[in-house]
Amino acid sequence: MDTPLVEMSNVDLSFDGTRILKGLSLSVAPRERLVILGQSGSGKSTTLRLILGILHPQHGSVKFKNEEVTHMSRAKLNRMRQKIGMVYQYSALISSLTIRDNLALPLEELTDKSREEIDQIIEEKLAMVGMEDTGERMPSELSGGMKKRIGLARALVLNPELVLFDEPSAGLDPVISSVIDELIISLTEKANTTSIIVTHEMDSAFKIATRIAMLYQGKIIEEDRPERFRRSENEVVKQFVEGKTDGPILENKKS
Amino acid sequence: MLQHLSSVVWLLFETAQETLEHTRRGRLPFRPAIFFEQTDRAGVGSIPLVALVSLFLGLTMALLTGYQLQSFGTERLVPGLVAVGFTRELGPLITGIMVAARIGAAYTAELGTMTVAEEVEAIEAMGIGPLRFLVTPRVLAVFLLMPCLVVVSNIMALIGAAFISDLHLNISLPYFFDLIHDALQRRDIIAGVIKSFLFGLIIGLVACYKGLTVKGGAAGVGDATTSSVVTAITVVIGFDTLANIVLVALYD
Ligand SMILES: Nc1ncnc2c1ncn2[C@@H]1O[C@H](COP(=O)(O)OP(=O)(O)OP(=O)(O)O)[C@@H](O)[C@H]1O
Ligand SMILES: [Mg+2]
Repeated sequence: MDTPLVEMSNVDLSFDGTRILKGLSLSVAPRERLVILGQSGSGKSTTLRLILGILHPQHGSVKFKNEEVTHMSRAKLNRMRQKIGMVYQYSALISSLTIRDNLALPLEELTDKSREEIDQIIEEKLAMVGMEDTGERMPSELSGGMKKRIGLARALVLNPELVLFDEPSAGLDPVISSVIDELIISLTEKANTTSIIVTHEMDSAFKIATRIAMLYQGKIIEEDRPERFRRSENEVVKQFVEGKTDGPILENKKS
Repeated sequence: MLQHLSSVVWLLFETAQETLEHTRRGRLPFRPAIFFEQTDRAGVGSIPLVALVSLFLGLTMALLTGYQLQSFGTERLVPGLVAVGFTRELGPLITGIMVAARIGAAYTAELGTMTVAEEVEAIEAMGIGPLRFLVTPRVLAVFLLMPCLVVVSNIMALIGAAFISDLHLNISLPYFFDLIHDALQRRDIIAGVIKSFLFGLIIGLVACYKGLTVKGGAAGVGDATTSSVVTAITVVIGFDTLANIVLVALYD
């Protein structure tokens, strides 16, 4: 078996005394497409931030390529981050820069590529997400879904080894959603990229995943290949996958 | 307050370190374009306000001191008073307060909005140090421009004083300059220059710190902006007092 690209073990994380993650363990092998499911506020975005070293766990370890993220020097952490692309839930484009400059930013700041090379990469990535001809516009002139796609293109400009998608298809129309799903799949098939995808769309989750994990009450309660995950006996998973109102999830909220 | 102060000092070191690390790899620490954009906003844009306020203050100070000193027949002390007062005290202080209100507020609101929209985090997540990329050009811009603005403030105050002296106190322009020349000492100028740089640094750092630590959406940005201006002005006045004590102790 390959050594895992990302390995989180026994991670505890609290915000102001509220424990969000309680002994979360998760391991991601190269070329996997791991989908993380979980309720709103269960800590999915938080988990992605831990991998990037933006948040630090109170307990446990987070490793990227066998190196402890928490102990990295700033220079090392920045080098690691250049190998990881992050697609933000709310896009997080730099509002003062044009779309073109948003995509050019990591290339200009972190590589020695020439103007022409940068232009070419930008054209290519914009085409990938179906957003040609928007280069000169400002982020505020785009719709939420359009911004999301630009955010995706930005995450890919450095050809990262690992891409973290935080709800990549939320707020996109069904056609574009499918395009994005295909894109996520083709990244692993063609470019050997590993992906971790947080999503609420069950259809797309089962379509793109090579493995699905369910985050519930601060832990991964179930992880399996999609076809087996769908047939899981776990009540929480069953309820979540089928989207039913009765089951342990809501009951738990009431208590 | 003390905790905030140490965080601001920490921000200075972290920023310096991040910037140096990047320069060691043979790259520019930040984009010159951002730096010039900020100097334009912070410096050129502040000139009218600083000039106008300083002119009025110079006029007022000359009027008031002239009015008092005339009764002793010593109104020829007025030009020196205004010159020394502005060079080592009022120039840096008034400019500092105006820059804190104008530039400090803008920096905090801008960086605060970026923080709330996760833009700062996105920059961090890409492996671009947000401190060197966002903080360094801004702090450097106020740091370098404060002394220039203070010079503008001093000159405008003297113009105001010269006007009153000529009209009201019968001190002609050449005599006015002679009196200033006699009164103003090198140490006054040095004190003013040191203070200007110091205040610029404080305002820039406090504003960026407040912006980067914004919590809680639009209301948070508003609170942070108010707090940034209040803190910067308080700290500037505090350091002004401290600087005066140190300078007096040094020269006595
Ligand atoms: N900076 C923060 N300070 C305090 N609490 C936070 C912070 N960030 C997240 N939280 C809390 O941590 C919990 C998990 O947040 P997170 O954003 O990871 O949820 P999520 O699973 O991504 O939810 P969603 O599907 O709605 O995006 C939430 O209850 C949230 O209130
Ligand atoms: Mg989230």
